[in-house]
Amino acid sequence: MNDNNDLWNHLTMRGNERGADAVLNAAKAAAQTPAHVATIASAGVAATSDDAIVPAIELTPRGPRTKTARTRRGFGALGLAALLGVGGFATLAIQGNGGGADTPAGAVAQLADAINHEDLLAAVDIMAPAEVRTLHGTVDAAQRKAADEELVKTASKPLAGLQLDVQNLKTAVQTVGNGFAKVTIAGQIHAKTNSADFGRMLAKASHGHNTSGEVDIADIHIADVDPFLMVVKDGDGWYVSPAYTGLEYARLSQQLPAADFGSANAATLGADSPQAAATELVRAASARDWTKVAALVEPNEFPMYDYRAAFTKLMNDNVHGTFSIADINATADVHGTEADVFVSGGGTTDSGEKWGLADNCIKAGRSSDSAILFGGCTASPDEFVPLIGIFIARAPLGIEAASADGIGNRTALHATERSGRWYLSPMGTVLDGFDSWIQHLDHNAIAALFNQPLEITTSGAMTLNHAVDITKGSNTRRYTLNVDKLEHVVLRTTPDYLYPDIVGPDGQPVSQTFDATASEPTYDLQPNIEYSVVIRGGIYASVAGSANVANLSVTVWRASDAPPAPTGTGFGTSSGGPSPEVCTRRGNTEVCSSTGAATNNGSNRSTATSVASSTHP
Amino acid sequence: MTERPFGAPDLCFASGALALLSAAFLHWVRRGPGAALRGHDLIDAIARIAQRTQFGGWQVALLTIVWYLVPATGALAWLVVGFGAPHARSGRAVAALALIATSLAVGAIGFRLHWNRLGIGADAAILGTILLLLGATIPPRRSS
Repeated sequence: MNDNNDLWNHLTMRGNERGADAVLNAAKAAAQTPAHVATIASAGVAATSDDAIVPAIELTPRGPRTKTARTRRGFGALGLAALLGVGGFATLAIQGNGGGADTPAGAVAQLADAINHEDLLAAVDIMAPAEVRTLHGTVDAAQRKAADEELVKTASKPLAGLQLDVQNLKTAVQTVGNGFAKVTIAGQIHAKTNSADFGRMLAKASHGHNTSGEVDIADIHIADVDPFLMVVKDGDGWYVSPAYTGLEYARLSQQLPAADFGSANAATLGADSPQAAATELVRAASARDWTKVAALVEPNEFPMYDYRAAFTKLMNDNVHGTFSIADINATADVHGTEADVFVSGGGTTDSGEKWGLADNCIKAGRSSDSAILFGGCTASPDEFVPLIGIFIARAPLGIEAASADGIGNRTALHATERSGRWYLSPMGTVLDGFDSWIQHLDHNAIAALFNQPLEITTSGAMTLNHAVDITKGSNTRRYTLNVDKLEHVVLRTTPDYLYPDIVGPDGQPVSQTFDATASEPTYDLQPNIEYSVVIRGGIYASVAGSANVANLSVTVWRASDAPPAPTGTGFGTSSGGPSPEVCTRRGNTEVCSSTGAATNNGSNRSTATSVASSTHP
Repeated sequence: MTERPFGAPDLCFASGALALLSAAFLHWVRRGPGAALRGHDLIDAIARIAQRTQFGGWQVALLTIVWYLVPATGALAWLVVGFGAPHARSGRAVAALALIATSLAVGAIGFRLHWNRLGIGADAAILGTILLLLGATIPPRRSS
């Protein structure tokens, strides 16, 4: 250390003050000989071997850069800038930031652009993030099911064949709260279908026809207001909100009080646990505390709390009964920030009747264990089950039961944790039910839904005057029917409101003949033509489950052989006449049984004790 | 020291880089889902939706990284033109990286959607990669 100080002192104290050029020139001159080494050595610093081999070079003034060099440096600078830019974008993308539009009108324009490109991805990207969160599983399952059942050609392109074009879009923005805007829209929507791009089933249902049409958005008047979309701000971007849009339309249609936009604070509402959220919901409904009910619904996913004034008025105007609670319990299956909650309990209604809650289905009416339910929760998922103001969609109407035996699955309320508080998730609950419905939709149900009866797999052959038992299972099914000569037939079911169809080989229903003297329609069947008897699953599954009917059957009677048509409620075998044989076909063998009594008891259920069986090859 | 002339390899690298960077702003999907989104907007949207829906997980994260490597190799190729040489180790490494990134990105999107739905962005990425490979393999012109 001291040696270095001495060296620097020596170097700084030597000679006279001079300019940089003089210093450089002196250094050059000294470099011609190794004398400088001796100079350094005289200061007490040992020369190294490197000093001896350092070649002296001639310093020349730097010339101007060539064009090539400048070009290269330019590319280098561009590359550096581009690399920084790409890195920044990539970082934002991996963090999932960005997204949304800069303005409310921009969000609507982006949605229109997504529609024009048949781009579901872009449409989802411009939807409010919290509302989209719950949708992915359902959309994915629906797309895969649609592809499996040949409704669409590929799951990744569900809108293929449908071309929507939003033209001349005009928007008017009205700010309705901090981060909330109502965007009124005008323009035209042009729609065109190309059945060649549809899946096989859908193409068949459309009969290969291509259609097109145009509608002026201004002509679409829902709730007597100009069409609009609600747009909300999330982070730095604006997003279209289906939930706010739907609630705002509902509010306007019922002329309910305005929303208190952005008033829900997820950290202060909700409940301490998923079980508490469910039980507090029931207690709040019992106390008719609709604000409390709204406070238990996840505010980001479904902003019921913002609309609590409207919800309270709606409930007070339309729900008049009350009920007391004797006991209420909930269990929860918690997985992370999500939970499935099962509620049970009971009490009495204000009219003194008992009510019960089991597996999230309300039983009410005659007694807590009555089979008469709101929506038949113990039976099929074919109905909407009202549960204290929240509708649990177990499945849309008319489609298959959730399980093969016609018994519905145990339904859970979906709960979710936000900001340390637990909320009920109506969208999650509804979508759970919808997922279950999609999962159990089979080929036959879809064929029935799209009115393609001949696409339904045959369950066997029917013969005249032989009933077919359809109690077991609940699937949509089709039986073939052939006659040897022109036959005049009637179609009867047990119970009498199953409404099957007889369709011809073209898939069209066989026309019915209404004779003024008869109480039921008849059909004329031609020989050498294969007819089909089609029974749709949703209807009889619902009947089997909800109405506790033990035996369901369908019979095509030769009109001359048919027992007298009943009068009163219907014309089924349940109201009189001999019970027809009920046949079940296994392989090439058909086993038939018929009740031996009950010809005149007039009751809705056979009381016969003897059962005769016969076997037909 | 003589200055290396700006030859065909540099031209290939410079234009290939431009194509790779352009891919970040062009449509990667011709029609259907993703068709409304240009370049990185598509990948950003996929990543955002994956995060919101907690769907896709590491696969989407991997796709995002791989896809962004495509324009990143374009930027690196310009750096090579500026401070290195296409036929040098740095140039060959960037060309190889571009080949891997483009193959994976185009393959992933093409496989998930449909090959005939790939848009001009994918074409640009493929073209850029080919140019980089050419630049890295064309022998440099000897300086006089």
